[in-house]
Amino acid sequence: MKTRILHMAGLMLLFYGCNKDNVVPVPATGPVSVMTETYPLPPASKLLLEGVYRVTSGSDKFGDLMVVKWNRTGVLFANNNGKHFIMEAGHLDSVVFIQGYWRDGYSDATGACTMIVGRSEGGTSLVTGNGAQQIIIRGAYAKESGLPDQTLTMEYLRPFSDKVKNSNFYILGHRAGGRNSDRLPVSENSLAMIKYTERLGTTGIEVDPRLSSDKIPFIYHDPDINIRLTQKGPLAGDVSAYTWRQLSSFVRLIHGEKIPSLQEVLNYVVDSTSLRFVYLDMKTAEAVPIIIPMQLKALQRAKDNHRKDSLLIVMGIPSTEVLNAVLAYPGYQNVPTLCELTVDDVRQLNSKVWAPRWTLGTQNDLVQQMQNEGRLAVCWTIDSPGWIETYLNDGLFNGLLTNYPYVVAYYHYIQE
Amino acid sequence: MGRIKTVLTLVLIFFTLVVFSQQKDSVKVRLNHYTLTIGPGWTHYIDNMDYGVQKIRKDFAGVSFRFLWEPEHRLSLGLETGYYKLFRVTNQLNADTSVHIDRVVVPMLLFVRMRIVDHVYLGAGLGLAIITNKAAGAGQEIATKTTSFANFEFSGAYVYPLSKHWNVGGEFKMFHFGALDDWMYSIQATCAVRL
Repeated sequence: MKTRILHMAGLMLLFYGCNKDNVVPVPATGPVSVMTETYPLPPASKLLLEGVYRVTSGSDKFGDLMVVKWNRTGVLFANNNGKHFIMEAGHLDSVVFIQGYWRDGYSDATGACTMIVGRSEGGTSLVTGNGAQQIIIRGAYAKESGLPDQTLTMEYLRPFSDKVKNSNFYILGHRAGGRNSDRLPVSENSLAMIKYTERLGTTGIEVDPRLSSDKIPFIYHDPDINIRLTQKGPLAGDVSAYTWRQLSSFVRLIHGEKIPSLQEVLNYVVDSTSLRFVYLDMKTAEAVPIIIPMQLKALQRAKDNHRKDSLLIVMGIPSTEVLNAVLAYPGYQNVPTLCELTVDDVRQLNSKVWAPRWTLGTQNDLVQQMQNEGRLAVCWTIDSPGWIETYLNDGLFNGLLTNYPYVVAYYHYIQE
Repeated sequence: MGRIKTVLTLVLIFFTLVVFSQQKDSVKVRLNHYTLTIGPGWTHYIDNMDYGVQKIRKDFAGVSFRFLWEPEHRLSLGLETGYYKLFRVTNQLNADTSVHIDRVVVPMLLFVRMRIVDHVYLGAGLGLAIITNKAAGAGQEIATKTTSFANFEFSGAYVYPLSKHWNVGGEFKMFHFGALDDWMYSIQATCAVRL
């Protein structure tokens, strides 16, 4: 009898053990963060800190080279195998403090990290902005939970190449910047993700517009309300069957955020981010005539905010149904579109962007044709480090859509 | 090739003998039979919702139907279905408007039952479920259907034979419907007829 009870208990444990947590916890750097005592670095100092670093201690885990790149809210360290550091930086006197955590994008591994640039190891240069000193970033990372106790040292190797500095390459984050399946701390297709994704190295996002039953466009990937995307609640089934009020009242995304309306997303991107590209991956043709005026209004808002040249908002055309809906819209040739179909369709629509699937290859001749016609070419959705490296080294695309923007960032910024 | 044919023939003969040796003479006592069971009862939804619930009713009446092949051995095999209302959520949108959200499930399970001791059975089911969600209020009704492919049931039953053809009893059932992670249990009075 005892054995039977033990077997039953074992089966129950096995069953419940299959339930994965939704998120990899963000490690804390300690009870008191030094960052609250520091002052923000001036823009010139941030530029000095950016570049390619040689990992002199800790390379067994993080590889030989690391790219350091600032974003709107912090600094990203990225290496070639998906491990990346999401950090904040500030200075106190002539010492630069850099603190945050590392995460392996392809697994659940994570840990806290605390680093400094000492006064005589580049700190003075960074704070004064004169750039004369060799920068050495020293510190430690935690292998798992706990305080950082493994040495990590990075020495400045070179600035980004002119090719990189002069390029207008787009690193596009899938589903507003990241997927739930990668167990990020915020939900895919949420305002929180749009706020967070720049920390992963993205310079643009792809979002998934749908239409509620009362014709309000909102952002949500799947056709149904499910426990992959949402917290468990009383609504279920076809998400477009519900009114916007019902969705916003009774549905919360997996980390508790509201489903955002497209209007909220566009306003947020324009007003509160440095993102340069928004790819509206249309999920329904019915939404086309409703979304185009919103798209044009958002572009006008960007222009009013002096962001016209730096922000591209394109309507994605993934199917012939959406293509036909766009073609039926008066003046469609003046609507900025991204066409995933053939180059002939791109020309017919006068699309700004051609976006082929990555499995079709680099297609350099067609990409060049598009670029010669004044269009851009971006490729979707490419995730493997090996392919990302190949497409960046051998391809001519103006951007890549990915679930792992820090990997694309590494291979882009490290180019010579 | 000839050797393979011989081996296959022997295997076939072996299994045929095994299968037929399990069947007893059915002229005197017909042990191998089929039963049809109906089980009305009380159901309780285990509320694991994270969001969107102001007021919830979790107890309802439900009913199940089961068709079983009962050979003379401990194990029986069959199909089970039923109709269960899981919950009714009532949310107030504003002072004047409230919305009722009902969830109903119809499972369609392959069911295996085993006699543990006389009259006492344990069972398990695995299969599909059709989940219907209905939101009504503010002048409209929205019904959506979700097909859940990973669902299971565990049950324990006491069955008392009234006559050669009729059994009555009670059964406790626990269900999990995978698509929306819904759990419920049910206590049912059962009545079975031997066909």
